[in-house]
Amino acid sequence: MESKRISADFMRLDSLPGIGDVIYLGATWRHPEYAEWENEIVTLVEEGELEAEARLIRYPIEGDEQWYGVLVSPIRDIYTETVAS
Amino acid sequence: MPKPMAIQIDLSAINQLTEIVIRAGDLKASQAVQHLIQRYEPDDRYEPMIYGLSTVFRQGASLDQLAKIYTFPNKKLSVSFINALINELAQVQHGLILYVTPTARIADHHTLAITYQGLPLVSLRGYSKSHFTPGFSWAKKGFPNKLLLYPWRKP
Repeated sequence: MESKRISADFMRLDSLPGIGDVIYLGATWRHPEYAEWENEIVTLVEEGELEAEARLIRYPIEGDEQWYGVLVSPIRDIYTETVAS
Repeated sequence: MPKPMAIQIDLSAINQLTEIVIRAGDLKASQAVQHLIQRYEPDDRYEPMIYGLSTVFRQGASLDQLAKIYTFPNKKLSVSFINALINELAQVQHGLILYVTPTARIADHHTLAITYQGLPLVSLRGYSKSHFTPGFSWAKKGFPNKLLLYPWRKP
């Protein structure tokens, strides 16, 4: 079955201690719908640029829970050169 | 523990003609406007919470230097002079704030917020492509067209 695709900003590539490379996906209050895929492998997509598989986790930062995608695959380049008219 | 307040870059204290801000990715791509709107997000590591776009800024750094320091996976980087952004936004009665928002991987990570009537916008959702008017041409004429694209590619 194809994994859930979640739009992500790969400029938010980060590292969490003891966890590794992650992409920040926003606060849990902002994306309650992600709870359905918590701890599952999802595909993070920066449309037209990059994609990667990641395990969706909650992680507390400054006392608030945040969603992160823990990368479990290399980041794939899906860039296609199209220029806005 | 109270959250820290995000520090703002004093844009009046830097050389706006030479300082640059970069963002990974191709802002000339056909879907770039929509991507920017989607990527204008809150960062609740700070109190008050801030909103904006992830960018990289380091005072005095050139594009080459930033491209070497930070190995973005994207094939292209987009870059703008601070002065160009400020002028473009001013033409449509908007402004910008650059917050210092470092991450573990990007020490020079900054959040670029757009302001209107002096207040930071919490979303660009109202600025969809279909709603562009002469009063807000930033996203259509400003970012994608006036940002210089640097043909930097992964080694």
